[in-house]
Amino acid sequence: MAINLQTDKGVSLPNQKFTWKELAGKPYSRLDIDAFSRVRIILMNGIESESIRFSHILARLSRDIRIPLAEIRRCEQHQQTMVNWLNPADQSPLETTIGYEQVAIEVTAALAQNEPDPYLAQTYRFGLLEDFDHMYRYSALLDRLEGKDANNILQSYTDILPGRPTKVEHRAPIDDLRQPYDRKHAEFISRINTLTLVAGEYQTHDYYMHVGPFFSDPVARALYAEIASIEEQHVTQYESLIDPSESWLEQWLLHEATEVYNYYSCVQTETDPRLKAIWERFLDYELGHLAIAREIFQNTEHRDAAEILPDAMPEPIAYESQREFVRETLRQEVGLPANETEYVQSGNESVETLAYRSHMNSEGSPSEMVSAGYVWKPGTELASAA
Amino acid sequence: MKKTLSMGMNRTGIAMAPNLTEEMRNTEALKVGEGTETRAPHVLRMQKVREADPIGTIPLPLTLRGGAGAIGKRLSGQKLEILLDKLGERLAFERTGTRLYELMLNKARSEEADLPEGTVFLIETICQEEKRHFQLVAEILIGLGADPTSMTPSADLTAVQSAGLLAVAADPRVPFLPSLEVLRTAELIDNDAWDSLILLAEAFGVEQIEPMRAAKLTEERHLRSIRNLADNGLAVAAGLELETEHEKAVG
Repeated sequence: MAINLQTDKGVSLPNQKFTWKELAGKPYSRLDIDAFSRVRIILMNGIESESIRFSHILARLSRDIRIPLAEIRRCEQHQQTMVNWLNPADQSPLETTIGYEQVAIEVTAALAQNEPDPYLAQTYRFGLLEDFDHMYRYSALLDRLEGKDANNILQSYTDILPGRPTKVEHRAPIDDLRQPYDRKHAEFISRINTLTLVAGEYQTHDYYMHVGPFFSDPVARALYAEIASIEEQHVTQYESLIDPSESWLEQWLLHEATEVYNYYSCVQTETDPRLKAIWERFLDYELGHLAIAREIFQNTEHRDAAEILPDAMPEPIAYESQREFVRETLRQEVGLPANETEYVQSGNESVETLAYRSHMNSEGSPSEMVSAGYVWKPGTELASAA
Repeated sequence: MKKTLSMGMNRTGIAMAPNLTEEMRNTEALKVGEGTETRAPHVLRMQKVREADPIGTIPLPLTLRGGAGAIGKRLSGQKLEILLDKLGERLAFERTGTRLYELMLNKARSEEADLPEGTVFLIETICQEEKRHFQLVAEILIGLGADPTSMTPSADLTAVQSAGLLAVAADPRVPFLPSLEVLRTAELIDNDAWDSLILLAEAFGVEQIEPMRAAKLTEERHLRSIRNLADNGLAVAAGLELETEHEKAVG
């Protein structure tokens, strides 16, 4: 499949139509679906959510393009619904959380290996080890609170092991801000990798903020409060990689291109025919959106979109287990914290971070409490004595 | 601080806001709905029932080990997956049930001084027995060549059902005695489910039928104990002297 980001027009906006029946269609079977299909669904919900969010912010700043923004956003809204409503009701919020962390681990690991900028790649690996630890803590909660095995979701693709301990992930805001790439030199793949991760982390943060209060268990409530805070830190981190001198329309172009790239990746890797048809349809829709953004960008900024968009699509995201890469990253980098924009040796964190962390943890650490002594075993801890 | 049930400012009923309620009701707009056809949502639901895909499938047994002799004779024309599905359901229920009892144990220990003597020991005992039931079902599944770590469709559905029980048991605002209703519910389900499962297992010639019957007897004891504890608790809370069914039964 050859996609040309500079010229392809996809499906025109007036032909991007839905009915309510389509939007609230059949959910997938959480028993039979391949875990990476669930990963794609979760990520694409996040990609659409980010697209809508950005469109709203841009609309607040740009009177002239409010109409095309609103028209495209309407379609994005319905795309997001159709994707997110694929999730079934028999997958609990905590099980879905496991799915979210699998997305964070596997997609971040895949992007880190396909990232040409060493600093950006290290930043992705930094975040990866933290999401990896979140998976471990949530898995312990799922086992000990609900008596369920997180591997029913993970399907053995992803390890359940401690990463960089959540309790030491709490940093002063200044130590979450990274060095932005230079828009004049950054490669296209670096820019869309960054936007993909911003989208993923933003939706994860939103999700934990929404579902946290629905738990009656005080340990669960505290754990979600703690990890939601880290996810906000991750949004701050990845967002700070974006060059703030990118124009708003340039950012819009990159957002649409990120959507095209992500749907393209889904099409290339999806094994479920029904889901693949959805990804193909929405790839064509996004090409339609990109065409509109391209034209507005060129007409308004009098710049060639080819400055931003390559003609050839980069290699798709590798939706497969990244276990060895994650384990190697854990071995090499788990003990490397951040100090402002740099990654440093252990013991060199800022006074502000140490003070902040000490205070936040001063009345106990939910993540430590929930998983004390937890070692994943197939069929849960209760099976270990069998 | 003991959380006893008391009268206070529960604002949910219309009697708490008679004037506002009168204002709400004093409009012709409330009469608009009368006589309107309301079947459409039900029609849609029925259509969805007809169109829906199954929840999921049962994983194929790896081998037929152990009781293969007896089971093997039964296989022709009979659906082993029904047995595997219900075993998976029982396994999931007992496993989650163990966690349910752990949550109730926290409450029992917190309120021990205010509970009948022996309550903590009772909950601890039942918790351990539920865990052994989970392990028994896992052994049965392994003996049939099935994977006890997989989630069967009925296991999935029982988890959905149990979610409400866990939520109440985990809620620190609900004291031990009102929380007992979740254990009463769980034990009622468990007892009937074991009956069904034993019928199925007998028909399929499962080897461990005697341990299953023993588990059912244990569950009957659980239900009696929890029912007794809950009903006595209600009586005490209400300041009444009630003769529970258990007391009537034993004279």
